[in-house]
Amino acid sequence: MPEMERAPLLEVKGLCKRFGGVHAVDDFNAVVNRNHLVGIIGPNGAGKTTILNLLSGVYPGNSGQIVFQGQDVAGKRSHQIGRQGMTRTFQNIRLFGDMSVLDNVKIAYSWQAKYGMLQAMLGLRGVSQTEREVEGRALHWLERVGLAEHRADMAGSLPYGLQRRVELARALAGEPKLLLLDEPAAGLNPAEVQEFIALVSGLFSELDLSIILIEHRMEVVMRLCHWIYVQDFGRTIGQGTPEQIRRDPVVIKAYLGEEFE
Amino acid sequence: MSYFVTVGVFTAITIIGVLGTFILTGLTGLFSLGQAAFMGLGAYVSALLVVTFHVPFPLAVVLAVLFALGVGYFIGYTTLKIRQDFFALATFGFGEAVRAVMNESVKWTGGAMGFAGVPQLTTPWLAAAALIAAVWLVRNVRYSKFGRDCLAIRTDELAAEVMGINAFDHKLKVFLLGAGLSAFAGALSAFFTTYVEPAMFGWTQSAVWIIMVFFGGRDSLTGAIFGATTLSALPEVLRFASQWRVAIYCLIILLIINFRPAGLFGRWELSFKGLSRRRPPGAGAGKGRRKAVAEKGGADADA
Repeated sequence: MPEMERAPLLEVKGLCKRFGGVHAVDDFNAVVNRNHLVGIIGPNGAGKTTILNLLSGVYPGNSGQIVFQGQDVAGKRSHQIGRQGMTRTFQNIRLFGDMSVLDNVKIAYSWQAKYGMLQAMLGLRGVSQTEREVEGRALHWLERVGLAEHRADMAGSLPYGLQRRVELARALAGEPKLLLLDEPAAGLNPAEVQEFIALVSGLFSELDLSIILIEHRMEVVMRLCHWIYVQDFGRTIGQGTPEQIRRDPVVIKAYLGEEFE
Repeated sequence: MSYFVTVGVFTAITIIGVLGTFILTGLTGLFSLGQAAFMGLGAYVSALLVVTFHVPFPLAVVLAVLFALGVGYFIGYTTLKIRQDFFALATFGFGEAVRAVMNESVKWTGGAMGFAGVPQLTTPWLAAAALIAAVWLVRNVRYSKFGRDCLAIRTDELAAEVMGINAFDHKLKVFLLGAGLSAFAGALSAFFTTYVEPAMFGWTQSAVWIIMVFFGGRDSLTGAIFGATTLSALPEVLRFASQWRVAIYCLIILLIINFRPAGLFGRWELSFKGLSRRRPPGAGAGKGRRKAVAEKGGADADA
């Protein structure tokens, strides 16, 4: 399938979303290639999170196409998109606080675990076997983000920085082709931000994975991303490599401000 | 039959009904005020089949449960997509509608006078076996991926959806499980009391089951069973206090909800050596539980 290989993983064409009279996202176009790390930056209210919500099917757009792995997923429900290999984290961390850290990650395998309600009720042998498998895979991801010793803790009781990592492990356990990270470094202290950058770039080089990253911290975006889209008031006002973005006068004026130079 | 055995059988039947509410309301967070109506369907359909149509008892019970599942599928399919507070209203309406049908179709059900002459076929041993089977089934579900999915959907439906869980599909399955268990409990009760009347299956009965689940601890199967046992036996125990017993009953519930908002057992589970392997990690008792309860407030605030 050489053609599939060359086709971009994700192609967004003319995506629009209005909330009442507000154009939260106005004609957004983007291409994400395989094994690419793409950033979306912009001031508050620029529509960044709305873009991620549209991509992951949290709500449907008003118009536009989202072609993911050769298929238009615009208008599909979240769980369908999740099953196709696009998972995400949330800006304000949405863990299952009442559940253990390990169970949080196991949730990613629920739709893949091959047993039905009746088999589960009767406790057939396939169930415990599948459960062991799921546990092993979930543990693997927890080890990868360095949380194995917290597996039995309640997710809601962990400190903020660790919760972010649990959410990352959960999203990775979905074994995505495309991972959407919504301000993953928000609320982290400077040391944690450094750890986070190392973690993401490590994961990125190990896994067959593309990432879309939304971030406020310029340092994170500039160091991690290959390509950056700059949003302002729902519109794309610039795109390019980190070097190009740093020098683009329109971008500097709209977002970075004078003092950045 | 001795007084204690009778109370025991009633308690066993209540626990079976409460198990459905435990999965549905406790774990999944769906407040159904129509669960008792499924119990009523189970009771009436099985009684009618045996008394009027001379169907053998075991087959009648199976058919009654299947009938409740059919009705449950229709009700669940139409109501589970709406918001959860409206779901409570819709199931309330469903429950009262079922009761109205039982009241009005006098020719079949005897109306408000009740349906008498049901043979007493639920023996204490049958009740005990049914109870053990029901607890075993629900425990297996609780510690499978379905149990996890329930909690995930209750805590954050959107996050669960993003992780590939079809929340509607899952809720429908859970709703059917609850309907089936309630209908089963209903069939057992009809053939124990030998008499059924619509007033037994109103929304207050559904609410009592929900109270029992929260009393024992919404995340704990042990708690649900304990809650059902205590609260159904409590009115009997409090008989000496005659007119005060309802007040005392309510006071005990208020105290529990106030001072142990996660229920008596929180998420603690009774476990034997062989079972502990199947326990969810982090379901520890003691300090850990109290800590988790204390921190739950913080987690809610950020939602």
